[in-house]
Amino acid sequence: MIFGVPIGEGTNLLFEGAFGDKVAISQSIVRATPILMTAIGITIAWRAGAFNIGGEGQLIVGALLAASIGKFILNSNLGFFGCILMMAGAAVGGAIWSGLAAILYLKRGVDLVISTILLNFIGDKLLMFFVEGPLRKQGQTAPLTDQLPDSLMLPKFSRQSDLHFGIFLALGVAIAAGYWLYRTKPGYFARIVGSNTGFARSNRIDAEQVKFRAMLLSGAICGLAGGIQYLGINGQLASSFSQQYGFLGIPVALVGALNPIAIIPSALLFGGLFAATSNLSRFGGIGSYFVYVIQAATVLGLLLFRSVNDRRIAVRNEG
Amino acid sequence: MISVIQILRYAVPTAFGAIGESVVQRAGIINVGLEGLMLGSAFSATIVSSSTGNPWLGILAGMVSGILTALFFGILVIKFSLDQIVVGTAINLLSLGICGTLFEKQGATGKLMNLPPLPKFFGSLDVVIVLLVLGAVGIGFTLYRSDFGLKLRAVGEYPEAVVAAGFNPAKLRYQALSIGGFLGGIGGAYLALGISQSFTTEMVAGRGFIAIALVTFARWRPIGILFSAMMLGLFEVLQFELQLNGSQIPRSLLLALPYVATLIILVFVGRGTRAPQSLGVPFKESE
Repeated sequence: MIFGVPIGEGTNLLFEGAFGDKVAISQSIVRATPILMTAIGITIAWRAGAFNIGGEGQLIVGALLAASIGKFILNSNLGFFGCILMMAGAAVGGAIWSGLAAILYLKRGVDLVISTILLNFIGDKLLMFFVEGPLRKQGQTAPLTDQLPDSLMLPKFSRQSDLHFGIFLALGVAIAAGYWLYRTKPGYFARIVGSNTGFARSNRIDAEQVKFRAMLLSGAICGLAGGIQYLGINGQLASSFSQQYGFLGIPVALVGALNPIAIIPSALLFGGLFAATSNLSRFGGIGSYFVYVIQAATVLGLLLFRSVNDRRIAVRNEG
Repeated sequence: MISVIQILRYAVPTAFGAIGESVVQRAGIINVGLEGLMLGSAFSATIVSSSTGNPWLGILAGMVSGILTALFFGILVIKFSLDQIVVGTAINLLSLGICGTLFEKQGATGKLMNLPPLPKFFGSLDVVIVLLVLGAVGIGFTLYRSDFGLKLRAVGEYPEAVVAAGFNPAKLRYQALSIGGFLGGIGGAYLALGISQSFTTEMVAGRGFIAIALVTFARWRPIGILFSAMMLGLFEVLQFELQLNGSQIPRSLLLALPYVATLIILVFVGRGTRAPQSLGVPFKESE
């Protein structure tokens, strides 16, 4: 028994929720999509030694800018072009939010970990302000933005499931990020700066500039995550829009060893955990918070396993 | 009228958290899990005080919970040398998950929404507020004027020297974490018992992170931390006063005030601060 749910039955419910049938699998992918995106964003920054903890705020501000554009083009006939426009807005919004932290770091030496965390909270309150004020749907009592018409949203694969085009976008960004990191010069510079700043400096690489650009790119991708979620699933914003997807990007990125390609299965695992625990909470009578316990335990477990394993290898090599 | 005691009351959670974190950071460890640690302590304090009807046992439960969380963090980052930021983030997640799940199981019954208050004297003063002022002075003295403090600071700067002097860096770091957990635990417990007299899963609301920011701002000096926490406490009181007086400023922007203020403070401090040399670097004794 864990938290009053028998273990055997609980595991069954978990498994069925994540992989039980077509609906479950598509639900896992839907949940994995925004986490995959934020994890890639986090990876880009962390590989360059810029510890961006602000995925959550960047995701929120990205979605916020997309929704602001959405308010203007709500009754237009822009169709898919409008969707692209809002996606671009989401990327810009995310980049503005991470750029703010990056500028404070560059100009005033404000620690990125702390500034990005504070900007998460400020972004969250900003969302609340816009949803309750300027972006609130007219004549609406509940604090919600306008519902986008289907024509402006990301295309779905079928009427039965929530599965939307965003997963391909996320996979595309993962591959592009992998290419950027391992096959291009700026990506190479970013990795050097992240692994050895001293070496980078002695080779006349402007480490601060590299970190600054990595932060902008990272924020843009986290902003896109917000755009994907807004345009793929919700179609409107409430102040409770983000489900910690920005924070979860960090453990997902780490379980994927900060490699954009290895992050794909890692995100699917976490998405599956989300789908699984929502099944458990529906039928097993356990709350929605339980998913965080499982996810945290997964991260710590994997890191511990890796650490113990590394040690064993080190000992063997010595002996 | 806003009184100093009122400001101090709102400064207590952040200040205790930050003073504890300053001890931890001086020993070379950055505990981003403070947010989750404080939530765990607030929850333990809530459960124990509501079931016993005794607020002091609640504070005690908060301390114990804080120490245990800090030691759990310590084992992972000291014994297994896992990344401190990652483990801290995971602990925040874990704490939210455990407290949220258990809280939902309990149901938001009247009992948890109406915790026994701490006894007050001279109007609105209570023992924890007095403890905060004494604690800031005491910890400041311990860190910068005692043998133990010197050893702690040495571990944060150059652990090799501590080994050479015949002391054990890991043990010192565990001790620093215990102190940090103890103080952060009081802060978390006070959040539930002293301020809101109820529990919600969002009640820490970034105070743990703000505390970490204050440590840098006050340059690892407990007295400085106390004053900067009071400055933020003033913003918090101001925010409530403005809301109560039916101000035209939207609630969301008032809620953002403490975070914006912290960020502005950091911008003004700028690069002037110098962190402990080995902050965040795991110490591995060469075999």
